[in-house]
Amino acid sequence: MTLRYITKCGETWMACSAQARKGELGLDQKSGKGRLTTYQYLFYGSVKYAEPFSDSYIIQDSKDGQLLDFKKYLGKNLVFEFLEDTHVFGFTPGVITGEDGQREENSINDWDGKIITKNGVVKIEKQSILVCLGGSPVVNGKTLTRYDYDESTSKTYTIDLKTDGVLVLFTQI
Amino acid sequence: MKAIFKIEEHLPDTKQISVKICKAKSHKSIDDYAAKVVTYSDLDLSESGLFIDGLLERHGLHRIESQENKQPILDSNKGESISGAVVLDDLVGKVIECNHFTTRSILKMRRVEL
Repeated sequence: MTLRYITKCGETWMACSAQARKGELGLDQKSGKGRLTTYQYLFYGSVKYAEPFSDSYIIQDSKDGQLLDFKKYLGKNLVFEFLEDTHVFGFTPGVITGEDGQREENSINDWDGKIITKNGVVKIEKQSILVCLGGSPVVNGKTLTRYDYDESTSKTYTIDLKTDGVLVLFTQI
Repeated sequence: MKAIFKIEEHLPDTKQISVKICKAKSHKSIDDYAAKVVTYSDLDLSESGLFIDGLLERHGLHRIESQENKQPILDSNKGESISGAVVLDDLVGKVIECNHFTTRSILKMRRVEL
C-alpha cells in the first residue's frame, strides 16, 4: 500500500511524498484536474511513469540523483509503477484562483527547480524556495535536516553542503 | 470501517437529500445523530454502489471523523505522542498515541528563517 504525505507550504506551493513497495502501481489523477506536481526527487528506489494507454514512458532512478521535471505531464493523468521500494518527494506549485475561488485556466505558476551542487553563495532575486531533501547542509550558519525549507524573494544564501547535503532551489519564473 | 446512512428527506427541486450518517458500530442510534442536507447532483446515481461510495467519500468520512473526535477517551487509553528515533525499550509499558491510519498524511515540512 502506497503511503502518501502532503502539506501546503504557505500560499505558493505544496510538498508531497510517497513511500511504496516494489511492484505497487499508482494513478495520479487529482480528481479530474490532472497532475499538478512539476518536480520530483527520489530519496531511494526507482519509478516508471507513463500516461495511461501511451507507449512512451520515463524511468526515474534514485541512483541518478536527479530532480526530474514533470511539467510535460501537467494537467494529465499519470500511471506509475514502483520498480523498487521507493520514497519520492514532489513539488507542486500553487494554483491561481479567480475571485470565485475557482482555478483559472493556465493557472499553474511556473517554477524552475534545480539541485544545488556546489558550495558557495546563492543570491535570490525572485520568489524562491530552498528545500533540504537530505543530509545536514549548513545554510547561513544553520544546519538543516530533511524537509526544512525557506521561502524568500530577496536573500543571499551561503551554502555548505557538507558531505551529504541535498538542497533544491525552486524559483518562480 | 462500515458506515450507515439514513435519508430523512428527498428535495428533488434542489437535488438535495437530508441524510444522517454514522459508523455502523456506533454506540448511538443513527436516529440520535443530526441530519445534514447535501447536494446529490455530483453523485453517480446510476448504480447503488457508486452512489454509496460517492456519498460516503464526499459527505460521510469527514462527518464520521468529527463524530469520533467528540467521543470521550478512557483515562487508561490516553496516550502520549513520540517523535525522533525509536527506542523500543523506552516505549515498553507506555500508551502511545497513533493518528488514525490513512494512506494520506501530513508531510512534516518545517519552515526555517535563514
